[in-house]
Amino acid sequence: MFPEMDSKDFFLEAFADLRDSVDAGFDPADIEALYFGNFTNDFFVGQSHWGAILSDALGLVPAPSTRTEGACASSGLAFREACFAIASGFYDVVLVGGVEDMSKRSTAEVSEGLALAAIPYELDAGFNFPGVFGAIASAYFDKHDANREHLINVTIKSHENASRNPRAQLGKSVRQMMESKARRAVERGHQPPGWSDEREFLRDEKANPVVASPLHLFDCCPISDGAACLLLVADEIAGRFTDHPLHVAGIGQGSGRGLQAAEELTSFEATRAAADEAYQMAGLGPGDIQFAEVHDCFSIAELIHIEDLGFFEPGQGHLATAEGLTGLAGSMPINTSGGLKCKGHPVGATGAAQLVEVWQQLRQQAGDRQLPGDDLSIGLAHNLGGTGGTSSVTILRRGD
Amino acid sequence: MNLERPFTDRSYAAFLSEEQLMGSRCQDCNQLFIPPRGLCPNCHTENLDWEQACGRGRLVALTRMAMVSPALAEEGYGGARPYCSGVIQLDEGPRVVARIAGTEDDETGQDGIGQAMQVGFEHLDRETPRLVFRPV
Repeated sequence: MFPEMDSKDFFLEAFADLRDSVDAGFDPADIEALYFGNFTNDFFVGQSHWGAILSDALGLVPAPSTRTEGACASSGLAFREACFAIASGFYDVVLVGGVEDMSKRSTAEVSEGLALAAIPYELDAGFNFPGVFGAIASAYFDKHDANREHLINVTIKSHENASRNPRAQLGKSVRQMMESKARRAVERGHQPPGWSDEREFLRDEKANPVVASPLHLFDCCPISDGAACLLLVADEIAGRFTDHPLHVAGIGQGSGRGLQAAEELTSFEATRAAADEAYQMAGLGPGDIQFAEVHDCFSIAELIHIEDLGFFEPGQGHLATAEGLTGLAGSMPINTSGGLKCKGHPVGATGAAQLVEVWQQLRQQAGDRQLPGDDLSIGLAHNLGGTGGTSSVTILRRGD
Repeated sequence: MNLERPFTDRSYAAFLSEEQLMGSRCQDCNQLFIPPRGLCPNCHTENLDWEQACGRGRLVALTRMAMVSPALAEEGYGGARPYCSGVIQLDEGPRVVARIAGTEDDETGQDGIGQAMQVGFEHLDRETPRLVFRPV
């Protein structure tokens, strides 16, 4: 998608955006350290040691630069380490972000690279990532009497949100995609496909082929390139940068086991631990969170996360989504950016990118997808790595 | 059967190539681990003994993959010949992940959930045993 750019270029672009977004501006020379997430550069780019390269590209040398790895949760971990670095009093100004460069590889290579995040037993059993989440979906369907139609609700909602996000990789609603496919078929002299609505389009095995049952193409996030970064500063000096700072109210991180040993197949123990820690630190509960970005690498994952984070009771996520509660106009908007599914999933950058979306919403800068209400003040980001092996949860709160 | 082996993944694989599904049981808390663990995660002790699983269980998760890993693609799987993997809850309690045979026609991946399964083994070569479960 960006054949002329590499990881360094992606990160520099994100850094330029960051500079534009800080109200009073900042001097890059004031950055004391960099923490960033990256998962697969070793495999995809053949280069592991990105800390120094990024530090140099940004003109930060000799400031320390630390790469964190937590599979798809890599930059969620970077953000938490950066919080500790500031909370300890050691630093006042830290740059935190993530980057991933994937699209130069074939789908088979990307699938092989991402499988590095699985549990070896799962690979021995023939699982790839869509397969792991497909199996999880089969267990969820069985336990909660759900079906593919419930996944389709997630997909339609993600695309709808992404159609309002100019930065989304897949920035069209399902209806727009369906209509443009139908138009193209007619232009080529084929019979117009007879889809009556989005659901029928998504049920069409040709338009939406199976990847790993019950998951189809539109249940899976795309292969993405990208970077995101944020400036994290000590409370006492935040006023130098803006009159409207956001505060990190709570952070949490947890570990979990794979399919063979996890406590349940329809819940991620790492998420629950990370959420407990973040809620406790913030002195808040799930009911206080007004919206969230959650790690929807596959549609089924979003249903599980909104239960694990406590927004809905176990087994209720699919019903809440069917009722529209997680849409932009719902009581608990989820993935206003379009999520990993449509905004894109540049693996190591995703955690930081989720926080950028929460930041934009809380600062009333989310454009056409802006959530309504002057009281919008608390948002959450949830990042997950592997088959639930690593999770981080971050709660941001408006300061004024 | 030689039980004088360390509780490692290599030993687990060696047992699979001998067509034995083996785990380790903690002698302190009595929990059974398949694959085996050398350190009990509950007690943090190393007081474990080998135990053979009966090889029967229930299918609790299943997927039928049309897109497979390069290694499986080389074996001819993928697309028109999907590969099924799943999770078995063994009668003894632990879950294992395995190749699932005999469910290839289940397009939704739902029909088989809950059914009784029996262990089997496949051998690609001497070094690569594969754990398989089939409907009883």
